[in-house]
Amino acid sequence: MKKDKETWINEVLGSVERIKPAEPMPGFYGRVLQKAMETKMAAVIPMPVVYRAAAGLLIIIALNTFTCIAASKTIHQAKVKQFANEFSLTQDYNYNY
Amino acid sequence: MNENELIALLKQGNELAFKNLVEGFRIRVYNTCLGIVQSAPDAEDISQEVFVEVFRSVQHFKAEAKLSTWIYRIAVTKSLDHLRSKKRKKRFAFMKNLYKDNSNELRFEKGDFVHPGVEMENKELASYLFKAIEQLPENQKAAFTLNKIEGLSYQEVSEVMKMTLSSVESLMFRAKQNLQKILSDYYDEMQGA
Repeated sequence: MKKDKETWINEVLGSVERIKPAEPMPGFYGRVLQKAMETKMAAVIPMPVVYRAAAGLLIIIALNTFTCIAASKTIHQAKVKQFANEFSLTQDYNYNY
Repeated sequence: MNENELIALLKQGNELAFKNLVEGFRIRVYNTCLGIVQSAPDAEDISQEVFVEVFRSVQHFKAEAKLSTWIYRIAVTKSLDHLRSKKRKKRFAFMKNLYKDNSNELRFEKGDFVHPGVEMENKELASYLFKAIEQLPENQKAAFTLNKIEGLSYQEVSEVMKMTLSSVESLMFRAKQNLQKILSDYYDEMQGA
């Protein structure tokens, strides 16, 4: 029984002794070239450029936000002024007695 | 054309040199990947990636090792990376199954692999061997595949794996011991069934 087991294990271990090399599918070189081209295309935009673009985008967003806040403040001030004028609430009182 | 001339042409981006390189190494690279990942479509895909990597990084190749050693090293690294990523996906699928349905079956479970180069009368026995190789730790799997499937000497394996010769010898000794243990368990299972 033990001998059978050892024999079987040795046969399994020796089953790849005369193994022949397998071949990839025909047209392998063409597919490698295609993959190389795809990789090259992906590398056209290198990472530093991406970082620079992201930084530029952040600056544009920040400027837009700043402009929007400034504009809304101006509009608010204009409305307050208009309201004050309508109800004669101007602060520049000039009493001539 | 000798190796130095080939490397020089590759560094210049010579397409004909690259074609020669692919034609000269495609079978060795494919068989190394196939032995480690045990799937023909995956081995094909990884082999393509190996040559793309060679094409991309040949500029940095300093010829400290032989060209073949460098290419084998890329093939082993990429194959092991692939296995790690597959293992992660398998674990994720298992976790998903725990929450999704009651099925215990793993979706990424694969069938028995038989290397196409194995002789017809040895196919069944070899399927047990490949199943056992799959369970070996990464280093042992790579060393065993390079030596037994790809036919590299221990010295060549040590150069590919950047190890000393004695480390490879002990790695191979442990690989064989582990395989014997795994195969012994298979044998007992078969006798019990």
